[in-house]
Amino acid sequence: MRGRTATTLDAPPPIPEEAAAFVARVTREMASGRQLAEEVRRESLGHFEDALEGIEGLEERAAAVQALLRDFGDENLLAALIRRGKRRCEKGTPASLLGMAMAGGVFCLAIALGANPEVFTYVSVLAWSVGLVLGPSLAAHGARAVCHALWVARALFFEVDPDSVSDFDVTVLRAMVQRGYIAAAGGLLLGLIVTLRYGYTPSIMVMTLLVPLWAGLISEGLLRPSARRVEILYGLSELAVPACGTAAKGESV
Amino acid sequence: MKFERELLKGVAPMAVLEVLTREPMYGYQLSSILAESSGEILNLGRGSLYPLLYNLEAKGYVKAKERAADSGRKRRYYSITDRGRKQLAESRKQWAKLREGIDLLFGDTPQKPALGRGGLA
Repeated sequence: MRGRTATTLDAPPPIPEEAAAFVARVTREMASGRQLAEEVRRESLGHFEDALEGIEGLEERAAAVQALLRDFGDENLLAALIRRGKRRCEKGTPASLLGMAMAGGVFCLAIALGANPEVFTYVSVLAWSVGLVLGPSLAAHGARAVCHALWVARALFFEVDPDSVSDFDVTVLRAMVQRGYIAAAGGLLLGLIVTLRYGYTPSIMVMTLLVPLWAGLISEGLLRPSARRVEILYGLSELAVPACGTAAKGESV
Repeated sequence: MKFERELLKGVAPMAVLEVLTREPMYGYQLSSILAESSGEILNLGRGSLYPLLYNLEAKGYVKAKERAADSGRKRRYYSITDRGRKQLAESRKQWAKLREGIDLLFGDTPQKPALGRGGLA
């Protein structure tokens, strides 16, 4: 009761603007969710209030605020340390799992839509290598199908003649693309949930915003590479895989 | 005297936990009492205090709850947990051992431990 009266009659003087601005910068730099930021803001401002209690003169208050600001140190470093500590307070497993799910979704989208011809060239080389090691077997055929599914995806998106691909490849493609879209959509949705629930980090924000933009540009054909190039590389892969398989067979005999 | 940052960093968690065994405290109160109780030697910077408290909270050594202070203002009070008490006991043991070793190294007479060894008081 006494405390309540004291609060009503002797309202604390307002926090100096410089202190409030410092705290605002720290909480902004933390880039955490609203709830966390508000918690840190209240606690930090409370510290200033307590430290300035009893100091009446403007000059004395200004000097005390400067001393406190020096004591708090660099706002970026402070924000990073607080953010790290607060993140550990949260049961971080859901956030990290969701982040991984999002990363997985983005990866599936990249494969489904076809981000870069060079990537698929490397995938093809990998498939050839697997075929070389495993020889003419189901595993090698599966690896080849995966590789060709990626090429078929590019063929369908970038207007290369689909008649040049086998039915098996098309079946694999359809299954893959469908799952890729579903995984990507799920990953993006989870990424948004992570952002809203736990606050955002620059990397999550970049992925959440850029991936749909990039996917849209790809599907609209604005980032379409040369279809001719795709054709040539596809044809080469058709020639190279059987040759490698034959060579492997010959060596093993 | 200005201490090496890493030196202070090592003892700060133990010091904070020790102070919190007395009663729950909020940040400003804790830093004042810590400085006062240590003869102004352990003057934890504000930039270190709150990250440290959040770290201790994350590890489960302290828990925090908002309530009204004596002044009537709402403050976030930190109190030590059972886990924190165990950690403090362990830290004190380690600190006593470390101090013994350093004192021997520097040639200072080591303080006899409270729980005597070999029957010595």
